[in-house]
Amino acid sequence: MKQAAWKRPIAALSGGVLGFAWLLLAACGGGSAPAAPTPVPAPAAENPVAGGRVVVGVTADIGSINPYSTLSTTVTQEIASVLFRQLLRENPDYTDHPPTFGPDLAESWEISPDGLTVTFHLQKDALWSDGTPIDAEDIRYTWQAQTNPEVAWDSSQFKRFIRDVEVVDKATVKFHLSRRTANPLLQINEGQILPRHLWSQLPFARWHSNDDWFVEHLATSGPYTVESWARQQELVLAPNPHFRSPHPPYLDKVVIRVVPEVSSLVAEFLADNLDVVFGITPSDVKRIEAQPSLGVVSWLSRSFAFVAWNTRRELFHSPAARRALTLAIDRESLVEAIYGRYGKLSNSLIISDVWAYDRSLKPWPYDPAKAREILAAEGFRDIDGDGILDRGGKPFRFELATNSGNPQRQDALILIQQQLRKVGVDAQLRFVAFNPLMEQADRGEFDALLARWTMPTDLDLSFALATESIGRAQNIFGYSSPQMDRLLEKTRNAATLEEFHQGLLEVQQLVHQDLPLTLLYEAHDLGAYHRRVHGLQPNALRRFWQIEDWWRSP
Amino acid sequence: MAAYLLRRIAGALLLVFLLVTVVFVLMHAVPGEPTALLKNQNPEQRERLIQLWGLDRPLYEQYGRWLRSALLRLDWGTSFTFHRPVLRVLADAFPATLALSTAAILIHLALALGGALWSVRRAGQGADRLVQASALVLNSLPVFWLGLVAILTFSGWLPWLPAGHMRSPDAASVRGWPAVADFLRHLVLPATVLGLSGFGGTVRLLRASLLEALSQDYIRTARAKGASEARVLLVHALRNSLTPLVQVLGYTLPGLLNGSLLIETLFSWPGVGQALFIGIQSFDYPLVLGGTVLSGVLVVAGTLGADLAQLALNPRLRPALA
Repeated sequence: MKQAAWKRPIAALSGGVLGFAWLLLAACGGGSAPAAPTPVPAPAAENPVAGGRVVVGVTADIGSINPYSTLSTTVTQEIASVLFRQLLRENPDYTDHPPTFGPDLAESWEISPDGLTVTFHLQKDALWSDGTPIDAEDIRYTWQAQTNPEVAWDSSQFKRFIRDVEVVDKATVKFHLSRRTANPLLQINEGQILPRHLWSQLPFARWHSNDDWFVEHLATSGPYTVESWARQQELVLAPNPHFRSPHPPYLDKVVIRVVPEVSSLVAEFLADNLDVVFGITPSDVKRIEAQPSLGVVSWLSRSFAFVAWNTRRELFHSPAARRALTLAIDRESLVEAIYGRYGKLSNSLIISDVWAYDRSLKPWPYDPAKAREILAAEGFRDIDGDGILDRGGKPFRFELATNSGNPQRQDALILIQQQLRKVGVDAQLRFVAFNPLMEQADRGEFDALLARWTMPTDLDLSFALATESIGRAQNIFGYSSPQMDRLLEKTRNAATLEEFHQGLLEVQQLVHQDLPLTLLYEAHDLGAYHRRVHGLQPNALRRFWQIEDWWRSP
Repeated sequence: MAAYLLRRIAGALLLVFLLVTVVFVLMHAVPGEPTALLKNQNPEQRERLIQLWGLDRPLYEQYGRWLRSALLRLDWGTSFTFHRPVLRVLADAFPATLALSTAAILIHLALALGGALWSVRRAGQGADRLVQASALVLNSLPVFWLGLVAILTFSGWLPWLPAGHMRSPDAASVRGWPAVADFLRHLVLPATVLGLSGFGGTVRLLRASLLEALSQDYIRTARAKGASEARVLLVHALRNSLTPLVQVLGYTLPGLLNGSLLIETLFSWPGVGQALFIGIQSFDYPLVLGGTVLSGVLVVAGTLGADLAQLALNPRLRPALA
């Protein structure tokens, strides 16, 4: 996928997604009765007990324990967050305002009045798991790794405005920024701090071919450290003896088992070989909930599904035609049919529980009559009486594609096809392998396609909407609007959060009117756990959120 | 004989070379790119990585470089996804695949022999038809589906066996017999499912050749001499039916290896198949090439071995070599 030339991350959710990430697989399955999504399990009434082992099943392989030399996949980021601490702890309180930060390796910090210097005061007694003190040199070294071209970290744009990192003394470090930004802490804090005393022995240029080295030379700062790692099988974590803050981890051991097939994952969970699983599908929920000893957790993920219209095609060129198509799709019943209680109607590229989401947006209703009216006004008539509208001698016929191997998206496509047929539009379905479909989308060689993206954590939407992103980043729509470009530019250059927020609201309004894409649904991520495990608090930032709080009934 | 052997080995090497070439070309012809590597990188980083992996060079040059380093320096490149030398990725994964395939072949043979003998004893009866029919059904079932059903049945519905992996969680500290027992418990399901793939063909072939052998004169002689029916079947008929079996095994081996790609993924078996599956998904060219060479060599060696074993078993074939 091509990359936007210029990125400017501002206040948002963290967790390192820049630009929209394509999602290959999504939860699939059945529509159960609508109900409120399962909240995070209530805190246990009992007191935590130390000791015991918890086995967690995940579907994706663990790429590397070095978060910078590997692709930022969910599981890799989760593992990194368990092994390594950051300067600050980002709180999952993004619903009403940008996330706030609390102390982690840094116990306090201050931002200079001109917004160009941020000084961090590190905890003085923090140690790596091998007993070496964690100091300011580690912070500077980490920044060097993050921005080194040989390392090629896929989220290095977060660090774009950091000019230099100055080690003042062992416990003080100064970040010098090249310009004022709306939320500098977010950019500085992104990414875990690395053990310089060990990893600096391996030159950056060799990071991409010596992954074993990092395991053999490992000291961690997070609650756990690696006891053993059998690749493609399991990662065994043992407590880091020097992790004290806020308390040492309760569990003696955490085993992370890789089970690539979801059906095998669920079978192993039901057979009591796994205590916690992530990445299950709505169709698994019933079987799991049938057992009183098991529970399900769900939380709104950062992803949303949509139909992308290729606005370069004559059929989809006018916003009115795209609005008609949007009105012709019964999105509410689509979400219900595909996701049941684990889906939610989507109206914006910004997820509905994020502070910057425009709550004043009125969802487009299902109104086939209005859709027909608009299409008639656009000059579409059924001339030959075949039930398909025509214009200029050509029928309203196009290819609607999605990636193969995802039953739930294929179901959605079939429903959309039926609904469009009712207003005289003939969508012909095509199922293409994921990789080739992405390429076709990048090159604009498609009519319309259904995809699922993860919202960029910096909330910069220019990736998908700016004219300059056509053919370079993810403006697969070929959408070009001078007004939008101006708004995006203004938002990107916002120096205060208020300006940034205002800009985002205007961008969302314009997308809602112009509809280069028809938004379909936001989906919940699902996990399940055995009730002997307590303290799980998965959220959109981390599934392993505060893993030091996990404990197990004896 | 030596000339024949040399000819066969040369042919086998040529076959592996052709296979690698075709896979190399196909891999680059398929739309898509190594996304695992280049997904979110900015343009400079992409350039840097593309250079690092030599992807900016013309295809023939990439191919030449790969061949040279693979043959001369035994360097099969670095995996984009695992950030480790391909040879090390494969070497780590190979023992798991070897164990699984060996167990699968043994199970395959045992089942096919048992089924064929049982069915031949009752030729034309209901039991015979049952064996034939189940052979046909098993042959038409996709191995992946069979695996899913096995998991749902034997680790879901009847929770007797683990649904995947080679060991129980955190079993590294367990040693000795308990460790072996744990491993075998994990091996049963995937090996059986894999062993059942192509089983139908083997059982039918073995049955046919057993029946043919049983109609021969020497069998009548054996019976006339008063040999027991078991001895007739196991000693006289079976030995002469083994030649086609060896041949079939030579052909089954590739099937087992292909099947292991799916079975390893389904059963979370950390072998070459699973690594290759990950490699294919993320367009990890060096890993896919390395995996292809490995399975290509195995398949070609398997077929060659089967042919040689056939020669050893059947002296009548030997004069034909001259």
